[in-house]
Amino acid sequence: MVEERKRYILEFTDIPKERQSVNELPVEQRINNFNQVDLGFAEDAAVEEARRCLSCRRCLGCGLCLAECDKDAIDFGQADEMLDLSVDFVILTHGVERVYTLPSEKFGYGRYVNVATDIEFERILSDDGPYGGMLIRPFDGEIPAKIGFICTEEGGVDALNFAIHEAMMAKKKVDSLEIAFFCPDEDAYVKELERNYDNIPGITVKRGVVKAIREVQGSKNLCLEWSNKGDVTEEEFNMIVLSMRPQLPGYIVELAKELDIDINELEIGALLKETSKKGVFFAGTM
Amino acid sequence: MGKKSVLVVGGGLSGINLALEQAEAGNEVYLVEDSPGIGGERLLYDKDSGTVDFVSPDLKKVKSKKNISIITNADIEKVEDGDGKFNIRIKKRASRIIEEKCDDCKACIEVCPINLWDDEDQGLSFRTAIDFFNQVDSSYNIVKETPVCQRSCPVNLDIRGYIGLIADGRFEESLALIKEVLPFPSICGYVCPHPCEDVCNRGKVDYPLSIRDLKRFVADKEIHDHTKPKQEAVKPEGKGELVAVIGSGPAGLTCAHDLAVLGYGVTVFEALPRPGGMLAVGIPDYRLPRDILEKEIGAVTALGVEIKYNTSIGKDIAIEDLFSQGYKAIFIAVGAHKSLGMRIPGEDAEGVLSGVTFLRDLNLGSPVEVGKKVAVIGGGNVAIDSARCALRLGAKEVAILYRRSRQEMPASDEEVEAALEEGVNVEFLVAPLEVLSSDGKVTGFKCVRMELGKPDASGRRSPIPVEGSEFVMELDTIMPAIGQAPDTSFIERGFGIELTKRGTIKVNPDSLGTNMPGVFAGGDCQTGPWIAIGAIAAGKKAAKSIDIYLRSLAMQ
Repeated sequence: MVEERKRYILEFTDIPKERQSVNELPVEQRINNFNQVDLGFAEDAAVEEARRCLSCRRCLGCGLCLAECDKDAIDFGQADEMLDLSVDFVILTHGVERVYTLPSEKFGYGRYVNVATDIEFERILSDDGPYGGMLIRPFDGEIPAKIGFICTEEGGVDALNFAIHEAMMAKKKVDSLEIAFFCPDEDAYVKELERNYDNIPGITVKRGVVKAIREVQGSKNLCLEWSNKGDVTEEEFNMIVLSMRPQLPGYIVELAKELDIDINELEIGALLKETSKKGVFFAGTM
Repeated sequence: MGKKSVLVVGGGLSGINLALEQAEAGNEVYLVEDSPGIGGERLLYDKDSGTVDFVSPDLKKVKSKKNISIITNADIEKVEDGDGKFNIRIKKRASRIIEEKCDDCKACIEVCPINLWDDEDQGLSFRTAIDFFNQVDSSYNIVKETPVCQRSCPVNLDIRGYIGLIADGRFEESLALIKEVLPFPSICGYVCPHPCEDVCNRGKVDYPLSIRDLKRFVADKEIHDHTKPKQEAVKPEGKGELVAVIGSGPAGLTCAHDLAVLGYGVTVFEALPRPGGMLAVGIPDYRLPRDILEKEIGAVTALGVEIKYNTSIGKDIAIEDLFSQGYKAIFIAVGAHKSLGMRIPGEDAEGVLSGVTFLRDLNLGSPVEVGKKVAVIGGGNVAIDSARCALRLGAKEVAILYRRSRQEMPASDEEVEAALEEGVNVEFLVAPLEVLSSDGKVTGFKCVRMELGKPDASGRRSPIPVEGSEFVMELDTIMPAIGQAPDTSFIERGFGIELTKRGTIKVNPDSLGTNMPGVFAGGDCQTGPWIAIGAIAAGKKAAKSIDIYLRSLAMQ
């Protein structure tokens, strides 16, 4: 379950499930009088109902950390601070937050656990990521022997570079790893891949359109179906990585609007340049 | 060229590198990031060395630079461009960690009982409510933002807090917590349309919590058990200054309550013989019992607030006379009681009675007559209330005609449910064309069926008449309930308070002050018809502004 700010909320089994109902005046007793219809909760029902609250799984102020911290570094009463600055220049950059458009449904992202986005894959490879830098599949911990990278149309050529470097990094971690790159049969993609081709031994490039992906029961491997000029081929992978289109976080876009900058000027990947607004610069690199 | 100052927005890799570049050039740099820490995790190819690796930003260097100020957890509230400079207001959200004292021992993380998916790790792992944002950066942050229910509440009520106390059986403390903010827990417990339940995260699992009924439960308990309120109302010491409040609805009474608590002398002027505004004359007794309303209003008058009934501003007293009578500030909270017409032929026939007027007459005990066959026009709560009341008064057939579909109906779901249960017939996608009458008395209604077209400015799909679908309903009573506007005739008579194009009172949204010094306005007369809790929030805001205004007046 995901709430509005995209934080996940876990379900606990010890909280009552059913919504408690309030007492009501029967319909036939409601004519010719103005007696109260909703009669409210009985005490035990109220307590049960209150116990259904999830507390939204944020800090509850239980104070355990406070007791544990012998440096007295925790201050629950800390207030927000307001700062007023006056500056000569403003530089807008991408920031830390990662936002991207969701990939097409046919890739099975969200349905199959071993289909990951390039950003998730970067987390998996990273030493400070969820698995301490070990290259393992999400959730089942298997070490993949064969990974398919899909250069999606959403991601475009820009995202390709990132995927190539992930592939190189993955090869560094698991020497015997087989990697296949699926890219549209277009020169721009192939050129970009060839430019880096020599750096990655053991990589194959496959041109064509990915038709569908389905999960193999049991192994949770992924069967990828792609076609090149009418020839349809199938191949099984332990894991699929999708290249995504990075986007600017909402607050940067809002800020640009407030500064009267046309948001079309804010191009992802662009090097530092002054915008149409004097004194405001934009750098689109990550 | 002297030293320049630069604001770098975004503490990712490129932001950090640009900040370092600017700092090396001798400029004063502010590096602002929305997240709790700086860093960024993107993998990059180091072209110069030819190696493939993660290129981590040089966090140590950026942190040690004297001319770089790092501001994390930051919202940029305002940017203004003036005289070649950018004036920027930044809100640094509390991280609840004192950075200088924290030695990165992670003990807090080990004991935190909260479990959530780690959004920093793209949901691939778990973390606690203590955001250990970035291992390299070691920035901690306790996620203690306001829950969605509290954020959706116009008075920002600590819903999670009082519900938790109910779960523990601590009912009196729960009510005391509500009363810290809300002077009318019972009233809201009965009638609040609960925006909090609409956003409740529990609704994503099964059904949202019955937040309103829980509030009502603790408020009722005090009444039924005759338990003494935790905090007995103390008559505060008088400050001397007098404030006039026009209208005794939820906005006016809340403002009067809060000002009385602060020690001001408050007089409320009420045009009707009963206090409560729409709560008293708009909401039928079966939804809000009279004794509940009277009890909670009684708690306000017990603070020394005087209510002058049957006193219409502009008729019995001119608004400008209030200042000469010694009142130092005025809060206008007259509500929106003027019913909007249907603007169709035959509207003035006998038997056409606006829903608002019908409910008012009924609640004030004036004689009301409904026929056997009643049609109510509209889709809001006034329409539902009118229909359910007509049924209770003996009407045999009651229909609600609404020009859109159930989905677009602004009335609360449970009200519509109850009306259907009681036998009200709701006709969707029907609009009135003409009132038919003979000898000046209503005999029927000419209507047309509608269909939904493209969404309009409000995002709702606008209805379009279906050609040739006209039909006639036989009726003896027609109640339009298609909206209300504030009756601002007392202002139009020359006091000079500015109105908006919509006919509501124009105010500064931060203070609720009108264009006249010392005159404030809030509630339905400023927003147009809205919910009681919205009016209560306006009353609270106005009380704060009036207090500030009077204190600044005293200082001069």
